[in-house]
Parts: sequence; C-alpha cells; structure tokens
Amino acid sequence: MIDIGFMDAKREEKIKLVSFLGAVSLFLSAIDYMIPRPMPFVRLGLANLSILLAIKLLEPRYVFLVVLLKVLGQGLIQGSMFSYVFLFSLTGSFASGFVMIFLYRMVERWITLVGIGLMGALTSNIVQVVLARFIVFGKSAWYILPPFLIMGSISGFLLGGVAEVFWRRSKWVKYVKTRL
Amino acid sequence: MKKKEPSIHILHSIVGKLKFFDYVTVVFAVLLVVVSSLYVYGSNRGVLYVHIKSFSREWILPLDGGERIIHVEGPLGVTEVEIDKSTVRIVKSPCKNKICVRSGAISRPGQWVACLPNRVIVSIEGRGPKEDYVDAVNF
Repeated sequence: MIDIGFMDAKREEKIKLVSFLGAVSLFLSAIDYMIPRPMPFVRLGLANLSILLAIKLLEPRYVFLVVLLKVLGQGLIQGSMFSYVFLFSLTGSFASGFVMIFLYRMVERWITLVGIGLMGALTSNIVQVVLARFIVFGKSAWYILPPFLIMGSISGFLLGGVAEVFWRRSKWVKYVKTRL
Repeated sequence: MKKKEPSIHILHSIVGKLKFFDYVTVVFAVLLVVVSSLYVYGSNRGVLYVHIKSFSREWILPLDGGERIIHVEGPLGVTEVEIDKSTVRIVKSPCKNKICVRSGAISRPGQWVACLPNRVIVSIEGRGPKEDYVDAVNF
C-alpha cells in the first residue's frame, strides 16, 4: 500500500487540484486544436486558462506542475510530442510560467489576470521566436516576430479577461478556495 | 427586456476592472510590437557596401555613394570597376575572355562579379532581405 500518511489534507487537495487543472488543459488543448488557424504556429492558447487559475490558487511549484501537464497534454493532442515543436512549447511555457508567477508575486494587488495573461503570451512568443532563430530558421525567423507578438497579445489579453471573469464569478473557484 | 448583451457585458466587466499594471503590460505590449516591427521591417534597406578585392589590396565602398570608378591593379593590368546608381560592374578588364565585363551589373547583397585572370573579386555586402531566407517550410 502507498503510505500517504505524510500528506496532510491540504497538500492532497492541492495535488488533486493540479491534476484537475492538468486535465482541463488537456481538454482545452483539444478544443484549441479543433479551431482552424491562419498560421500553423498561431494558437488561441486556451489551455493556458488552467495555468492562469493555478497561479492564483497554488504555490509556484504546483503551478509548474500544471505547466508541465499542459505541455505534455498539448504535445499529446497535437502529435508534436517528439518533434522540435515540443521543445519550443516546453521552453515557451516554462518561461512564461516564470514571468507570470514572478509578476503575480511582485504586484499582486495592482494586476489582474488580464495583465498576467498578456505578459505570459508575450514571453512565450518571444522565447519561441528566439529559439526558432537559433535552432531552425536562422535570421529570417525575426520576420515572424511582430505578427506573432500582435496575435499573442490579442489572444493573451482575451484569455486573461476570460480567466479574470471566471475567477470572480465562478462558484467552483469559491469552493476550491475554501478547501485550500 | 433591459438585460444587456452577455458578450458586451463581459467585455465591459473586463475593461472596467483593469488595474494599474494591466495598463502597464498593455503599453509594454504595444511598444514591443512597434519596436520589433521597426527593427525587423525597417532595416531592410540597410546600407550596402561594395567589397573589391585584388591580389594586393581591398576596398570597401558605399554602394549608394554616387558615381565613381575604381582602378584595380592586377597581375595583367588595370581592371576598372564602376559604381553607379546603386549597381556595380566591371567596365574594363585586361583579361582575354572578358567574362567579368559580360557578367553585367550587380546590385543586391551576396551577388558578386569576378575577373579570375586578373585576380579581382567584387561583391556586395550588407544586411538585406535576400541575404538569408528559408528554402522550404514543412508543417
């Protein structure tokens, strides 16, 4: 039998929440993948909704677990698990995770999920273009940076808005907060 | 009947509740887009240079620096290189076959003309849109 005696109730709740948010991001990745896109790399980034909620609800190490689950789920759904695209996704997601957590911890009282989501999207896009510059496409990768940033900002802003509204109104969020 | 459209309602409730650093990030994003666009698309017409190399000397001259003729000494004699209207060509050469003269004018970065018998190489250097590009992309 697995000894879970060392796990106190709160820790267990947090781990449950991490796995739930991971599952949500897997589901959202599938939805995201269904939506037709103008360019191959452009994504709405719906799966990041669970990361935004995780940032508000959990400590950084749990947030990174959610990020890892999101990346794995996305790789699984999009079939990019064993290609260089997966490396891009992994690096971009973790970099934006760092920035978003940092930002949230620094100016928690003066920022909403809108700003956090926007910065996260920007970070992930910049990191991925920089990787593309040095790994695959060479100097011409820079040409894709401005459109990437524009699309990323718009989707990050909107997703942040959705997350913020959800955060304020959801009964589920209120319920989860009482249990953590 | 007074109920608002739900989408407008949600948008309103997002924009209405933004805090200071949300605006900071929005401004940051706009600045980033503007600066990166200027940097990426603005520098296409960067300064181009003409690089002339003989067996004993090298010249680096601006491509847009107006009309001028450079006399390049080689083992066979003097090769005349003309820079004019943002193009470069070899106008006179002491070599036998005159391939260099017949290659005509070059104007884009990466192009070159050479007179091998007289050991003169003329090329255009600098940042430009055609310098480095993707051959093919597959998704």
